[in-house]
Amino acid sequence: MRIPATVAVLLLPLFTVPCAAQTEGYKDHWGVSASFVPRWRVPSQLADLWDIETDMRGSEVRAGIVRGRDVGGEWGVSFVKKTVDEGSTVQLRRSACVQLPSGSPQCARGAYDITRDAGMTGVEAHLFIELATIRRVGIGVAFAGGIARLDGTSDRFLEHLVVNGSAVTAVTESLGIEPFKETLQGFPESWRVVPIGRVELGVGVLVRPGVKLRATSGVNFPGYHRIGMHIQYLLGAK
Amino acid sequence: MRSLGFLALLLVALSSACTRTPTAPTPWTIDRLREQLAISNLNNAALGASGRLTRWQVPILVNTNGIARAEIAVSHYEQWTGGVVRFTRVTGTPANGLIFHEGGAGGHESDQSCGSVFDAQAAGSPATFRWDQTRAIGGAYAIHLGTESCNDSTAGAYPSAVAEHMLAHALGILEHFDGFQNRGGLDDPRLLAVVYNLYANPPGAAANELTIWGAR
Repeated sequence: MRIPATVAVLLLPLFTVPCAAQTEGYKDHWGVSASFVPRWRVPSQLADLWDIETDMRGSEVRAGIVRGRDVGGEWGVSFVKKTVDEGSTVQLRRSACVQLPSGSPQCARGAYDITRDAGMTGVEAHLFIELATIRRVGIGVAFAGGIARLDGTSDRFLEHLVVNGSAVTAVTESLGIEPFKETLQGFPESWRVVPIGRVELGVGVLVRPGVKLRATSGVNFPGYHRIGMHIQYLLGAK
Repeated sequence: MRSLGFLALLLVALSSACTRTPTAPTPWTIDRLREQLAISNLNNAALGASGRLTRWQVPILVNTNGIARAEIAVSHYEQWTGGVVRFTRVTGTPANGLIFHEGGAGGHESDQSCGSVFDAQAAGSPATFRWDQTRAIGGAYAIHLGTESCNDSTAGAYPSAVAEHMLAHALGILEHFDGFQNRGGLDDPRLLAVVYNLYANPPGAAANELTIWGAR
């Protein structure tokens, strides 16, 4: 199997140790990691691509195993649990309006979902490349990809106009409960799992040998986050 | 240092890329509605491009064949237009009217909309609309919902959306537009406005005779 040159270059630092750097901080160790993203949101660009309107937001936790070093990056595999906030709204099309004879507009949202107990559960692999190290502080980029199952449900509603005598009014009907999978119609219906992934900037500090704390920010498909925290403990690092 | 500069740029891009204030949709004006009626009906080649409004006389005979989402679609047209569009439910294939069928959609429209409108008397032939000298549509047309690879009840945003979409075509709205695309139903205010104004004006009306949001 051939590995593309760029991927090989990116992965190389993780599997090689410079001869001049055989000190303890440069040795690879296995370890455990945990991450927390207090707030992620679906970006407007993705909503545009999927032709929906949404304020979907939530939080995320990850726990997994890593292999890395005190000075340098790491790779790992994590269990991922993304939670979608109760009451997030996903419109399956954009709102549309028509002008009435009075001159005033009347609008309707069409079908929309309000999430409840919705989320994603999955696994992902990540690679953190440390690009610069200044004393105990490391700066780098994380790439991650994986798959997740869409869990939970949404309440579906239909908002439409009704011409009633001399008035045109917007009316909302409840269409019942739908699996959350039906809410994210940007994914093909036949998919049992959906892709997840991250491209993040990270700034970390080596708290003590083996323990790294890192703040992250970036794209977290199907959302983005401004701030996330990652902590890892490398077993046996001194 | 070059890496750090790149990182700083990337961070700025990421933090600014995802924040955009949503803008309110621009409403369709009365003139836009009039223009769309002309494109979708009065000047449409499939209806003879006569410059005259061409539609069914109401009530329209319809056989829903007991298909629940067809029943709902027909009811939505009646209720949401305030009775301007009305149907008489019949059994069998009406000589002048519509009949719904489960499955069997085909042709280009079926890929986009998961349904199709055929001539009821010539199975599998795309609908060729007929009308009389008053510009009232006549003939029998079959609306097929779903294909082997497309379940129309789940393909739209709600179960009757595809049935409503195909019914709009059968009622005389031939051209797609913003608000009437793919599997969109009557829940879009722009489609409802076009349907309402098509049936609130008499067959044979010219563009300059159309009253928008007139009879109620």
